[in-house]
Amino acid sequence: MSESRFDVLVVGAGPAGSSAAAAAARKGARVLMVERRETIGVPVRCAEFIPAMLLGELEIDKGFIVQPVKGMKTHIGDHAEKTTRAPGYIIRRDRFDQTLAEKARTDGVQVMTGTRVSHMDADGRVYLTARCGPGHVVEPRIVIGADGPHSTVGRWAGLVNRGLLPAVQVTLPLTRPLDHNEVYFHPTITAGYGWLFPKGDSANVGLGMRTNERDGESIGKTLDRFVTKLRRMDKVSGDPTSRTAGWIPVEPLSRTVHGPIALVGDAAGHTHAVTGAGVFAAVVCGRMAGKWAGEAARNNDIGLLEKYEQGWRDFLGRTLWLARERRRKMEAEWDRFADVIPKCWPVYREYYAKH
Amino acid sequence: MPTRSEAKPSRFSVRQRMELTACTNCRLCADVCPAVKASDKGELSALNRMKGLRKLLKSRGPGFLARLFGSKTMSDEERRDFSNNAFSCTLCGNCREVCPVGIHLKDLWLSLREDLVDTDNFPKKINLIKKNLLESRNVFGEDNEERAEWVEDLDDAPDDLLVRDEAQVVYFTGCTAAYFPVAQKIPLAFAEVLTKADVDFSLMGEDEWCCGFPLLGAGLRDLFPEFAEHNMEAVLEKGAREVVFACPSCYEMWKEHYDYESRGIVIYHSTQFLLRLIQSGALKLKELDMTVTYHDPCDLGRGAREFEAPREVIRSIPGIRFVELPDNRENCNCCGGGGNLEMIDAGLSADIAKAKIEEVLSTGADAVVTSCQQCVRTMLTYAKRNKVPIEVLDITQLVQRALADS
Repeated sequence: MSESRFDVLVVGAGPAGSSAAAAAARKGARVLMVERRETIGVPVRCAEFIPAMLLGELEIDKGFIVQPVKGMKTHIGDHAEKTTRAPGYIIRRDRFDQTLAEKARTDGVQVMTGTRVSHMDADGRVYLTARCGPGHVVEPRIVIGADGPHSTVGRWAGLVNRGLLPAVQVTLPLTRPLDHNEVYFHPTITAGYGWLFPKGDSANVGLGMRTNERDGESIGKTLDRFVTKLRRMDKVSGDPTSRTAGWIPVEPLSRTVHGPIALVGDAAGHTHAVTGAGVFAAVVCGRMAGKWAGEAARNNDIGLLEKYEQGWRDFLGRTLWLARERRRKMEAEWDRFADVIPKCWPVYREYYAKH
Repeated sequence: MPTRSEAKPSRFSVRQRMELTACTNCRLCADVCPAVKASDKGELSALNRMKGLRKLLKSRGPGFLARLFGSKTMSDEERRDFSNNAFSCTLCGNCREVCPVGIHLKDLWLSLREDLVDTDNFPKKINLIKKNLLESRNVFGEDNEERAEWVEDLDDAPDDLLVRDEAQVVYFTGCTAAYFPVAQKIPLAFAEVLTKADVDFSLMGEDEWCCGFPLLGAGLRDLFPEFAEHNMEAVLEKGAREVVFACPSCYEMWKEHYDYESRGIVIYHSTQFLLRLIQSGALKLKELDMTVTYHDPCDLGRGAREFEAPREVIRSIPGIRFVELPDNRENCNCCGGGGNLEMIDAGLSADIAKAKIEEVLSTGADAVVTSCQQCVRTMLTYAKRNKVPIEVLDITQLVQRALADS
């Protein structure tokens, strides 16, 4: 890479990063997007559901869709409690991410994979380390951190999200196809839930929960039990074909902009603190971040990044803050399990009532 | 040919054996590993080391994992490579910090090293640690009677060289601070501060033995109890009930592996002790006009979970400007000095230090403050060799500098 000056450096090529990079490029900005992995989208750490609404927003090839989903079935304890209409799709997240990144590339974004950001110096230069070949120094005017829950860019700005919840997932063969996502609440899945999302002839089965280092069961063990239960219910059969794990942000950052740095997606805590959903928010907030980064570069005014901060708050703030409140309640009152779930799970009316 | 491991009980607990199957290959450990980041060698990651460990255990024939996965063979060369891999680690514990499934990785690395020593499958430099500790009771093989010789460099060195018959507080110096000239500035500073604050303290002189931390890092856990017993007895002989450490590894070693509470002993890291002295008014500090950042030592931060005391000490110095490192507290990047790595792969250790110093420089601070002689030594050595204009200070040295004239 010969050129080192960019208007916008986007770190992380997930849905938030690619959406931001493409939006900035469409504003005429010179954009570099770097991705730590050699292959974009891998490893997949996601239950792979997107709401139908998101698909309408995306003008890209839809080859990543595996199957449509009509809605969600919520189970509490051993009872199937409620079926909710919530149309959407189960996707291949790796292909989804790759398609979005390819779109960004055609929009004019320069993409470098296998490249890690190491640090930013006092003059705002960013040091890149390439897995193959020499490192680079780039001089971006604006940096968008779309680099996940443990965001490196966020740390540069002192915006560190410590509200993270661990999650694990396996892929298992389905006994028969399903057209609804299934969600399972159980007292042993502390302040979280288990999910069974159908993906053609297999399913993503996972859970996110609070773990207790001292006397709690490990999250892996809890997942094993959950899988056993689903086997007993004859939902799944056979052995896991893949396993994954990660961290879900369960609170939005109080600020996502600091000087020339803006955070978006998981890095900003743009995930629903109870459901863990985050792809839709990542795409929409990514676009906003990219648009205002592009404007800020064009007008030579990084103060315009504040418009992004305001934009995502207007659009998503109430949803995320309510979810955070409900999560806090769920964690505080988990011992009153049957009582607390309807108040903290958004398919129930009580969720939206004043508590 | 039977291996020695078959004669010894396994070093891996049932929990650890279960954990070996819990890894999901999510790679978060590789993302934060200082050795991987400095070398770009993915094989040094926890993820890959877990794979190697599974293979090693399977290669040993009928056992839990062999039953689970079927046994495999491992060539001598593979064994050697794997052993080097196991010791190419600073034991910084960041992998354990980010593991979403909560695998106790640092404990696993210690057990692995023990296993490799049991099976005679370890870098031969480890023998030196063993020989030094058994013969001279300090990790460097120095004369243990010279443990308190640094005291002679004090401006007004007392006649008793700070080794007193009785005292309320014992200052446990640690091997590195006692013998390394660069690190000796720390006990010199701390002794001056303690004296200034009228603390009734004593060193243990030759009665101080290595805390045992290098033994665990070298896979020599069996030799450890003798050291712990001796040290606790020596403290009690002084009539002391409090022990203070400027070395976070000695501190964490006591905290995790010594049965000190049942003997009525209370322990403090220097940062905690300093904070008490400042808050009680025993220490008066003058203004310092400088900008500093703080490096959390692995064993004090991720290990002993003490993040706030050092920050409060720094902030209590008037005039000082404090800036955080980008990766701070539980996310702090290792300096490269941990886990005996320096003895095994000095180049890798220096590469990790380089990344650390670059991160420090990015804050624009005049000095990086830490609270560990090994971190000071590692960062200072790199900065000096490469003529990097940054001051490296232990927190005791910073407080010494801020001592009000009286």
